[in-house]
Amino acid sequence: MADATVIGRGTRIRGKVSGSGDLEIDGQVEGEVSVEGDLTVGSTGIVSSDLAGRRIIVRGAVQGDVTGEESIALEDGARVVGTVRAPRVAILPGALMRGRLEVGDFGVAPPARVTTSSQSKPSSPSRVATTSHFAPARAPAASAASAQSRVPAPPVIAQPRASAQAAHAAKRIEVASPPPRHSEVSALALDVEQEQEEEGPPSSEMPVPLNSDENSIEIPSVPSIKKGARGMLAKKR
Amino acid sequence: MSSTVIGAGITIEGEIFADEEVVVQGVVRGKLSSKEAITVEHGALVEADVDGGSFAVSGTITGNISSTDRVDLLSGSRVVGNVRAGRITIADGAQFKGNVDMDV
Repeated sequence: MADATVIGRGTRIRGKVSGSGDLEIDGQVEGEVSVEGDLTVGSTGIVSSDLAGRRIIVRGAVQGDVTGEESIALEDGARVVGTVRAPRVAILPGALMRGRLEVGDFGVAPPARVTTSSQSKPSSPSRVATTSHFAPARAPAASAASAQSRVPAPPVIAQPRASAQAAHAAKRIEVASPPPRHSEVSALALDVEQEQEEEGPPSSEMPVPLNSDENSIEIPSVPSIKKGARGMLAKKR
Repeated sequence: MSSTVIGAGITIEGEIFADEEVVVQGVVRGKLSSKEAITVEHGALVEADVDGGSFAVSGTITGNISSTDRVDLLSGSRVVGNVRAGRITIADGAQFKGNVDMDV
């Protein structure tokens, strides 16, 4: 029995789609989609709901949050408005996206990244300080680090993997620009951006994810924009 | 392949409208409507009112069936609900409880 589920291009579903097995959406789905297997939104697929799956490939239109347990690939033709969240995210040429992008491990351990080591700088006092930052985990890791600080070898391995990944994720996240959430105020937001900086950080009303310190984008919330706009108008008068 | 397949592990709760053939192997609750043929395979569970072209039922349907063409209740099927169709066959081994309306 074929286990793969296909929502054909002539099919519209309003409601909740859930379960195990793979799912391909070439039609329209309004509601909630949550599968344990792989999820593909085909080029004719139109989804206005939150999506959750193990590995997600998007080639169609999605309005809603996309959460991949393992990975997400936005391929040519993808149009995504919403939060994209997965340990690994690929945005390929031809894919369009507007919204928050959260890449990194959110409780789920991604595979070890060898590429981070090439980005690390050689040994320096600040690095040793960084290592001692993780004092509770001193037992095996820090002893190795101190051993390495005695021997002038490249101590790349000594750096805690988590912080290396976080730095890597933060680095990658910088590529995405903070997106305007509300199209009607986006034009206003451009004018107002500088006003906001003068008024200090915007009041954070957006839901902040775990370990947001390093790999999240500050999205100005609507009230703060309006406040900024009022401030601008007041100054003009 | 231009048809919809609802696989064995999948549950859909809500409304499904299709312009194409629909094959159900999993679970559908709510409403299922297609302009083409609907196949409910062995092991599938449909708790919904179902509108479609021709029907081939081997699984379980709880709800009313309305067909523009024909309904075939195959061996192993279990249907509780009213069936409205121009042509109906009920195979040996099919379970059926409900009214039949053949537009006579």
